[in-house]
Amino acid sequence: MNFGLGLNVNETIREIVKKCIHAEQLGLDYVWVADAPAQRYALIVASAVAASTKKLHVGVGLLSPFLYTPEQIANGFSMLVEAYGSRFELCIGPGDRNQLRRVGVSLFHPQGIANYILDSKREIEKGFAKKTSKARFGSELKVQEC
Amino acid sequence: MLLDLGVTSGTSLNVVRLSGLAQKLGFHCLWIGEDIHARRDVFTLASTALLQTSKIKVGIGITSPLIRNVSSIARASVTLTEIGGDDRFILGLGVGGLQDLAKLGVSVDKPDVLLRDAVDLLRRMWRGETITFKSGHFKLEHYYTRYGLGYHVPIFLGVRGPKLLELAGEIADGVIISGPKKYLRKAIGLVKKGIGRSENPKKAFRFVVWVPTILTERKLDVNLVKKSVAFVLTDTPRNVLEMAELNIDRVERIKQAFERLGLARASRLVTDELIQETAMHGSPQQLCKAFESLENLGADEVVFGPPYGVNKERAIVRLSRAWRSHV
Repeated sequence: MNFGLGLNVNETIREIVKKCIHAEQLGLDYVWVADAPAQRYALIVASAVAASTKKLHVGVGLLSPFLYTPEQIANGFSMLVEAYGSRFELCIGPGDRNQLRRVGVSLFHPQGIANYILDSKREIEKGFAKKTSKARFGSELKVQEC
Repeated sequence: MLLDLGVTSGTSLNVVRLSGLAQKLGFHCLWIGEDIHARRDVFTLASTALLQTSKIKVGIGITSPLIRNVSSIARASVTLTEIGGDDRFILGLGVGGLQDLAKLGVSVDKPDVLLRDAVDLLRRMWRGETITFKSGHFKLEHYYTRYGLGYHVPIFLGVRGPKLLELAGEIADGVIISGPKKYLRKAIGLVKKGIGRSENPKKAFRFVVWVPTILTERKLDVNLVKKSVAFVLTDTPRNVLEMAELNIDRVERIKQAFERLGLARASRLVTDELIQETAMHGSPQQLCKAFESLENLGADEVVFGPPYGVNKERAIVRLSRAWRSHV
């Protein structure tokens, strides 16, 4: 079984990175960077964590396809893998209804929320594979839906 | 005047290496333009550039509130400022390229209202205000941020039309302008008019000029110049063409050829006059002189941007060295 750490993204980047370096030294397998409309931008935090560590796997999420397009999510991971190698995982899901409402995003989709998340997952995987194969670097990305 | 380097999120260059190279070569700022359908996310790319360097400024030039939630732009900008430290990050904001927006089926009725609201909302979020706001483009309900506040993020507007240029002078910290030479002169005048109308007409304001620049080493390289000019003209609105006093019929023919037959065929219609007005090309020394002419127009920074030359990295290195000797 793998063992990881959930990061508190309300802390400063310096604190977050310090904890991740310590986590790697302790032999932890991965850290997870949460994302919410009122917090630091998770993909950038993931980038800072990956830049300061060597092997630690970095999970990002939950990212909501209601807030970011599947293409934006695929592009984010394409860049992370290009810069730091294939050590990222992604969790997608609808997100917190109240928090999304605060930034004008409604959790509604004509095909239903669950179907939209599953379609987005396929789109992200397809987009990521296409973008990374074009760039000829490793293209492994684990995507889970929550 | 300072020399910047421009890339787009779709560049074929290795951006990790390029960031370090740009700093080593002494460029003042690395500007990253967002190609909407390119394979890299512009914010993640900017974070990588900031993490790979320690001194060079990194700017996004530009992203659009029409394709991203304004709250996402706000928190990405602050996270990048926090990572970069020392005021290294600059947020470039604009409506977006005509072709990109058309492909997405996005249109905007009042771009000036869109950008004015976006800039105001971003600054309010960074001040930590609790915001409730509703307009045609934005909807926020009792929204407040929980991330590090107190950072100052400079906002530069990347705009082209007369109304938006004045708006940039009025509300922004800088402007990124791009277009034919006659247009640039008029555009800078309009921005200055906006500065005069701003709350603080004596504010520190930066004029950044980003014109397609090509270091040509052989006669054959002129084909690259023509392609670059054709591509830029197809994305240039009519009011900019009029300000630039270009032959609009000719530009329309280039646009049609581009849509029907592709870039290579469209580039055959590019005349010497259009090249002279729209792009800068030549040897490193000739380019340095061309940059100097932009300084005379009022530019504080000039961006050496794509396509650079036939050999991109070589062109970047040669030009930066020539510029250092020149200044």
